[in-house]
Parts: sequence; C-alpha cells; structure tokens
Amino acid sequence: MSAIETVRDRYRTFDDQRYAPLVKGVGLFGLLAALPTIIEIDVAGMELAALLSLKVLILTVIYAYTAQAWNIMSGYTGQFSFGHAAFFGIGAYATQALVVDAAVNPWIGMLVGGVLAGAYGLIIGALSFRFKLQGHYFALATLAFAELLRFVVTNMSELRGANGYFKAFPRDYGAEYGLVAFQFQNDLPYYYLIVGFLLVVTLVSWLIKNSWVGLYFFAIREDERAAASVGVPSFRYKLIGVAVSAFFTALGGAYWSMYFNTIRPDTVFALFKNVELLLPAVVGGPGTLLGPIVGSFIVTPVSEIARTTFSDINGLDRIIYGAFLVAIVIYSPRGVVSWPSQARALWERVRGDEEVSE
Amino acid sequence: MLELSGVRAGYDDIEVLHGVDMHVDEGEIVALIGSNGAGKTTTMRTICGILSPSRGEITYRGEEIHSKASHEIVERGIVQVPENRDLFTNMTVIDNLLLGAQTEEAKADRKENLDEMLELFPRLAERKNQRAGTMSGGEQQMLTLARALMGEPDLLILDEPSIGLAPHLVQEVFDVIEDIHAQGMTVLMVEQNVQQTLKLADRGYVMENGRISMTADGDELLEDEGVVEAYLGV
Repeated sequence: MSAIETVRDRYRTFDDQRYAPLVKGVGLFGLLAALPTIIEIDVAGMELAALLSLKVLILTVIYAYTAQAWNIMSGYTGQFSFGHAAFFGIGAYATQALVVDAAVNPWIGMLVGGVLAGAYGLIIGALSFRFKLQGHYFALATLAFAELLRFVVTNMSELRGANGYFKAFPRDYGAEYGLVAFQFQNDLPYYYLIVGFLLVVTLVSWLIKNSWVGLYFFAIREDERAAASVGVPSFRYKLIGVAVSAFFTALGGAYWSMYFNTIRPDTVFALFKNVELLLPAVVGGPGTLLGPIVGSFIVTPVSEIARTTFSDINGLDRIIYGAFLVAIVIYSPRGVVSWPSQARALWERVRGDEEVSE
Repeated sequence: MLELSGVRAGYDDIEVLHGVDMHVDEGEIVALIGSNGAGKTTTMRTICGILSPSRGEITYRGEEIHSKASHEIVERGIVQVPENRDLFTNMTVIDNLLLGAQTEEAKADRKENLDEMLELFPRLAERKNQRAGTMSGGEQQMLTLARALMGEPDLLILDEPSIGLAPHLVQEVFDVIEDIHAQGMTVLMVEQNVQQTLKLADRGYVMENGRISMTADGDELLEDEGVVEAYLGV
C-alpha cells in the first residue's frame, strides 16, 4: 500500500499534502463524536434534539456504516449490488442465533456472521461473475440471492421462522451490561460504538482506495474488458470486493440486532432493506469516501423525521427514499459530494465569461 | 516463440477464423495485413486470451496458452496494445501507466520504467496528472503504447497502432516501435499502413477471410503484385 503512495507522491503536484486525509478524518470524526452534545445545545429555547434525537443519530450512523461497506464493492468495483440485505441479515441472524440459542458472546457471533456473509458473497460473486452477469442483470441476481435467504429463513423453524429472535439479556450469556456484552442501558454508548464501527470501515475503505487493490478496482469499474486485457485478474478482484463488503455489512447487521430488541426475516432481510443499505452511498456519491457518510446524514434523518411526524401516513419514508433516488440518479449521478467542485467550476465559468466581456 | 496452428475462433456462433497457422520467432517484427473483416483483430484477441479458440492450438515458448485467461497470458510476457486503445479515461496518466505493470518483474521495476516512459514520451510527462480521456488521440495512442511497455513484454502485440493519427505522429509511433525492437523486443503487429509496416517488418502474413493466404519477407510482399494491388492501391 505504501509502495503505490510513494510512486504517486513523486509524480503528484504538491497541493495534495500527505497529512490532508488525517486532518479531514480527525475533523469528521471529531464532529461525529461531538454531535450528541451539539444536538442538546439550547438555541432560542429550542433544542435540535427535539427534531434530531439520539436514536435518529444512531440510525443515521448505522446506515452511514453499511453504505460505506456497500461502497467498497459497488462504488469501487462498479458491481452494483441490490442484495446487501442478505449480508446484513446473515450478520444479524448469526449473532442472535448464537447468543440466544447457544449463549455465545455477541462479539464472537458477529465475527461468525461476518465470515458467513463473506462466504455467501463469494458464492454469489463466483456464480454471477463466472456467467458474466453485468449491470442490471448482476443487480437482479444479488436481489434474488437476498430474497432467497428471506424465504429460507422464514420457513426454517431452527431459526424460529417468521417470528425471529428476541434479544437475550446479558446475564443469559454470562456478561454484564457494557462493551463486552455488546449491550448498554442507554443510547449514548451505542452511539459511540457505531461511530467506532464507522471509523474502522472508513479506514479500511481508505486503505483500499490508496492501494493497488483500489487501482485494480477502479480499472475494473471503468472498463472491465480493458482491465482484463492489460492483465488485471478481474474475476479475483471482484470477488475480493464482494467478500470485504459482505463481511463489513454483516457486522452492521450484528450491531443492528444488538441495538434493537427483535429481528425477523421481514425486518433484516426485508426487500426494502436492500434500498436502505445502498441509498446513502448513491445519494452521497458512489465510489467516494465521504459520500456514504454525507448521504446518510441527508437521507436517514429526513425519512425518520417524516416517518415519526406523519406516522398516520403509512410508507411516507419509502416515498421519500424513492424521491431521493429518482432525483439523484437523474440530476446528479456523482452524488452530493460532487456539488462543491461543480459549483466551483460553474463559478469559474461565470467569472471567466465576465472577464471576457470586460 | 509463438505458434498458432489451425486456430478457429469467433464471436458466439459466428466463426471468424477458419484455421489460422502462423508463427513468430524470437526477435522478429512480424506484420499481419489484410482487408477489413479478414480477421486480423480477432486473431490478436485470440492470442491474448480475450477470445478462446474453438479448435486449434496456440503455443508460446512451448506451452499451450489458448485455454488461459488473459491475465495469465500477460503474466507470461505477451502484452497487447488494442486497436480501440482501451485506456481508463477517467484515471490519470500515471495510474494508467501503473496498470500496465502486471508481472512480478514489471511491478518490481515500475519506478524506473515510469521514469523511462516519461522520458521516452515527453508529452505524457507534461500531462502526467491529467485524466487520460482529456488528451488528444495521438497522446492517447502514446499512452497506450507506454502502458504496454510498462509491462516489460517479451512479445508486444500491436493492433493498428497508427490508426487515426496525423502523419507526423504516425512516424513517431513507427520510430518508437523500431526503437524498442532494436532493444530486443519481439513485435507482432496489425497495420493499415501497409507500406511503412512492411518496410519495418522482417516477415509478413496476408490474411483473407479468416485464413492466412500468403506469407513472405516484408520486402518480398512489398514487391508482390497481388499485395501491391490489393493493399497499396497502386
């Protein structure tokens, strides 16, 4: 990884400083860490927390995390997955099944879920890529594999069928509330934990992006046939993308199952879960490091607030998701994070025109 | 070095190559000429593993390579410069060049090779952090060639390296080919620019309707009436 950096460094213009990513990262995660305090600041007799509760913040960071995981595969290699609920659900179910039925610590269950999801990802990938499924066909195949799991789990009494799992108490698996038990008695530690998760996946994503693996991913995304003809082993690298992405998505599912009280096939494997897992990345900017995080902070709070405010209108949050998706795909396929540079380009053009007319 | 015998290949159900026999020896420049649709590009693609032959065999240094994937063929030292350039247009010139280094040896030497390429193609040095798609056609062709050389090929396969280029750039491309050949690289090339190619080539093959119809030294082909009439338009 450092090898490619040094090579690039020698040929790069010096406006891109070495410590820039570190500064940005510290700034971003500092802000995320401070958010629970910020929302409680009293502004003119009103707290932001009345609108943006800690629960919504947690949900937002969960989806930022899963979108970041989705991005490693779909954003970087260009293999658009519409079936990440499969991995998410595997993570949730592996954790709960082991915790509830075998009294295994959820952290271990989480890792088991991650490995299982990675393996399932390799199966989906190997089958799809072997038969050269691309674009829409690949997306549909991933969706089919996710739906398949929903049906299987719903009909499996060993996994409690449609009823799903109810989270166990820490003492049931020999632990006490706290980090080791993966359970807390209030929301704040949960928030910091998922921010920690986000930090890890963002770091992994950054490392990939700046390595040879990332260079191969981008080459495959841009033109897979050309990548193959220069000698990039595209089949292998697409599988690496799927496996890493599936692994981290499953950890998100495990967190979900330890934060909420119940999981059922129609929540963690839900058809709509697929959309929720990818939308922040698509809105924020697929293939970018910041996009999934920014996207989630746009999409999740708006739909959550709408859902709770207009709770009598069933499905309003989904309508909002749909509207976001349509608007962004049509008007700004490079996502929200591309807006500043586009605005700058527009501004420079306007200014350039003025100079000419003078 | 490279030998094709009875190679049949094509796209889906359509067979384009109906049994191609040819060989390239170490250190040669071999030209493949023929009219549009004769199967030249298909031949190149089949050698490089982008298409796999339905019959016949391709051996490289005594090893069968026709059932290998393209990256495995690149690992053995066969690198192609495709006709449609196949650059990664949204990636920088440097990243495009880095992607050319795929074998272990090429990866180990990439820094020196990068310096060498930027020296050999000063235009690329000027544009090193620019996106490949924003460059002119000539510059893109130089980049494609430089990227292939980053792979330290033993056998370089060129598909129409001078297509769509201004005359002075065509000369530049041919100069580079002559240069790298002088350094000992074996070259197999397809070219529309028949006269210039045959002057450069040690041997030439003429392809017609998916078969090799004729083979001779470059100079002999240049003097052959049939070839002159068909491909030089004299």
